[in-house]
Amino acid sequence: MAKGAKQLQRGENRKERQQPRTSAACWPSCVLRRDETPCQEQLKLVVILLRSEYSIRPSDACALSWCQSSRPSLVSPHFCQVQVDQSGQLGPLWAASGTGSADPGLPDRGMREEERKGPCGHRYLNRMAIIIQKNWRGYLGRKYFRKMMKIQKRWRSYYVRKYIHNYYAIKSYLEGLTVKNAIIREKLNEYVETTLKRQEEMALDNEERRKDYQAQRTHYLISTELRPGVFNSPFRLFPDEMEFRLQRCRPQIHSALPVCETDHTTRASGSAASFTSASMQRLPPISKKKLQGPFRDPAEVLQQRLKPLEPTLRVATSITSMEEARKELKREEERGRVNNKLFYPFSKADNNTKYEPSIHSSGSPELIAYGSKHFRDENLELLQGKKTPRPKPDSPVKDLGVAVDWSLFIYPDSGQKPLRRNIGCVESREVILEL
Amino acid sequence: MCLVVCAIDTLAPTIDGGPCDESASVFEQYQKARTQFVQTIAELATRPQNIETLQNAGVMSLLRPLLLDVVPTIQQTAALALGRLANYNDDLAEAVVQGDILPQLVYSLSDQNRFYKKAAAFVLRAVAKHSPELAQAVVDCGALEALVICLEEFDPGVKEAAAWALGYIARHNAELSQAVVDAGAVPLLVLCVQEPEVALKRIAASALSDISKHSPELAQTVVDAGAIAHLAQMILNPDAKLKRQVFSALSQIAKHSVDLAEMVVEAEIFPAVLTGLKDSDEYVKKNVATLIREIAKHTPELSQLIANTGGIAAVVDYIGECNGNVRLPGIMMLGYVAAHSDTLAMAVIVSKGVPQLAICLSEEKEDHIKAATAWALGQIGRHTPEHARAVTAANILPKLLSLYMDTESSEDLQLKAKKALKNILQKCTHLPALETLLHDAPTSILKHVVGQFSKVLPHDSKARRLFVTSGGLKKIQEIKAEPGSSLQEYINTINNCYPEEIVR
Repeated sequence: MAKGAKQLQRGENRKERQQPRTSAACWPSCVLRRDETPCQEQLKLVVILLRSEYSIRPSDACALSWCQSSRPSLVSPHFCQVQVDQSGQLGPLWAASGTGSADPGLPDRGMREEERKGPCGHRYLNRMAIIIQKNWRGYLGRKYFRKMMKIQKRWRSYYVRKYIHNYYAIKSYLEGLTVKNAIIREKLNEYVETTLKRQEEMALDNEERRKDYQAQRTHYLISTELRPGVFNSPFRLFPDEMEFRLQRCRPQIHSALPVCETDHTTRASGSAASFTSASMQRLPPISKKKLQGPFRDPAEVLQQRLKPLEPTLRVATSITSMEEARKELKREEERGRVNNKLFYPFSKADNNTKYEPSIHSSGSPELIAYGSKHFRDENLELLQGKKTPRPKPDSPVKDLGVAVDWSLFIYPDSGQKPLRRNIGCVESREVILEL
Repeated sequence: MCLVVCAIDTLAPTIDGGPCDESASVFEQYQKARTQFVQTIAELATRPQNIETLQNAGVMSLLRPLLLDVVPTIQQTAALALGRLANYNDDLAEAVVQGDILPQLVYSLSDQNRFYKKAAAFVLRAVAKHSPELAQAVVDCGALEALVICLEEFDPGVKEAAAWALGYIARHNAELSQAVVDAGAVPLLVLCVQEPEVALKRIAASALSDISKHSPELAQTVVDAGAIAHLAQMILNPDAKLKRQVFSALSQIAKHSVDLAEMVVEAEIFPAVLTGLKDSDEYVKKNVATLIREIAKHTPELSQLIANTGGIAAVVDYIGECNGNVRLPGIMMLGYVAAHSDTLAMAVIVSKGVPQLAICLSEEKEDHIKAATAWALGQIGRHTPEHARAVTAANILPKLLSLYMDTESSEDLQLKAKKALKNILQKCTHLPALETLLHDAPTSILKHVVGQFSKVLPHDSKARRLFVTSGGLKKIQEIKAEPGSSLQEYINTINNCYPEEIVR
């Protein structure tokens, strides 16, 4: 079967692939170098028989031809040129190239005579094969290495330019840094200015205070009405600023002196004359000794005496608070009420029933005359032609439309008057129903 | 009746008079004399010219018994006088030590009133400040424990005096510092730093600075006591002397290792610290610059942090405003920052650091400052041709060359100038700047100059033309080089760029 054959073939191929990589058989035939076009002359194969199970494949041909062209020293006259057809099914043919005597090109590796003698000697061939393979693998590896290197080179240059020495990032960083430097310089200059200003202000302030203090201390230099002071020379156009300061400030009070009113009418500016002020009150003396006797601690006493009034709510409210509250409410009502109509919520909009007050609470508590004083059936002329309100036989009896034997309500034994109230209630309901 | 008797009884001693009265007056006279003597001595000791005479008169031996006087004021004044004398020079301080005064002082430190404590602490400080041996003598008397107890006192004046004495003891070397730390002074000093009195804060910060300057372990002890946060809070305090001490303390802490520097930075001192660079007090500016330098020195990341907060610009401005020794830390800071990486060096260039350093180089008179500037410029220019170009644009190479050639420059300056020249030249491709050096450079520098020419000329035809027209080629021919040396090779390379007839 064709299928089976194919499978077999595939199996074989798989087996081939799984062969150990000890021969040139593993190398794909595409690994020829580009400048090596296998031409017929070049494809003069050197056949190496390592073991009988190996067979020649086209890749071996490439390998060996490469070997021949690039490493001619390896390919010594010992190896014969053998022609192989493309099916690769040849057995090895070693043309005897002479005696197989020692070739000066090949090192003598201490081989045994019979080996050397025969180029087809097993160990010798092995060694040669190894040399060729070694070189081939080296070449292949270096080729791959160069390919790998190209990729790595590209990758590394990209990576470095993007992450490690990103030129544009550095550039933008330096631009940002310039901006930041300018900001910082500006801020620092501002800071210097503000501190200088503050220092100047403080210096001025101190000067002012010092001068005011001086004025306070030397207040006696102020000019009077009769005699101008030192700072108020009559030969000048206007007095010195110290004069104004003296007039402005309050003179120092020595705390032991009693507070007294001095004559300040001579002051030109007429400023506040009084020496006393609320802040000059004396503090209570610090008593160091306890008073002898059953006295309480003065602090406690003072606290009790000077405790502020804390009235309760009841005490604090006025007597007329209720009336006032009512008035207030009324006023508010009058003020605020615009519309007297009550607001009905929409849930009852269709429910146009008027409120029916309860019978018990509406109307006078007096009894109505009917039911006690007169009865309907006593005035027969009024009832002429009128139907008695009797319910239909099939309609459900809801109310007392049934003729009631009123005598039921009369208590015969006690002679009491009938319960008029109930009757009255029934009657009025009947009346309502009729209407 | 009994009242009258009582009155007579009370009156009796005064009426009696006689020997009681006289002996009382004798004692009073003696006390007055002693008080007067001691007060006069204390007053005289404030003037240096009197102290010689006092010393010759043997005042030490007279003052010593007065320290043990009954009357407290005499004791205090005597201690004060002794302190002032010992403060003046170390002979007197030695005399104090040899006179066995210290143990007495230390003993009475614990039980006297605060004026005496202040005076005694003053004496200890005056003795300890002169030399490590005297400080060791003070420590041997057991002064440290007594001073640490004084640090717990209520009165701020006593605390200040005790902290001052401890600071002076710890200043000399690491062992004394370690002794102070072992006495348990550091937490109390940190507490003192938080007190409201400015003078006490100053002294406590100064003492912490003196303790932490010797070794990383001591600095770590100070940091573990939580000093950094409190010191950092005082950065914006208006008092200038306090700021001096605070910045000094922070820089002494930060200088030892990367971890300590990072801890200082984590206290969020940037950018508030940059306002210190604009302070009116010179030493505040210097200490701030020292602090920034110590932080920038350790790693590129810390330098980057400083650059990001605008620190480089602030330091460049500060260099422009100061003169002399005060600007040295700023110059070194720029050098350290530029040394870490080429991005940071470019940041220094962008912040206009190079023209400022060039001005420094020409203005300064002292050799060590010039050496530092040369070093800093070398660090900036050594990274890439761009950096070298920025440095040479400020016309620095001739200056560096002149510093190197000047016989009056110190060795250090010559060495640094040469290294800087070499570093810059190895990356310099800006030929006009190189040409100026061709004419008067010595052989060791000429080698690098010609080397650079030989690298650039083969590839740039315009430069070749310029080289010929400016007379550089002629100069090259005049150079005599040993055959086989690298200089000769460079010359050959250059000659090969030109056709034969031009080379002649």
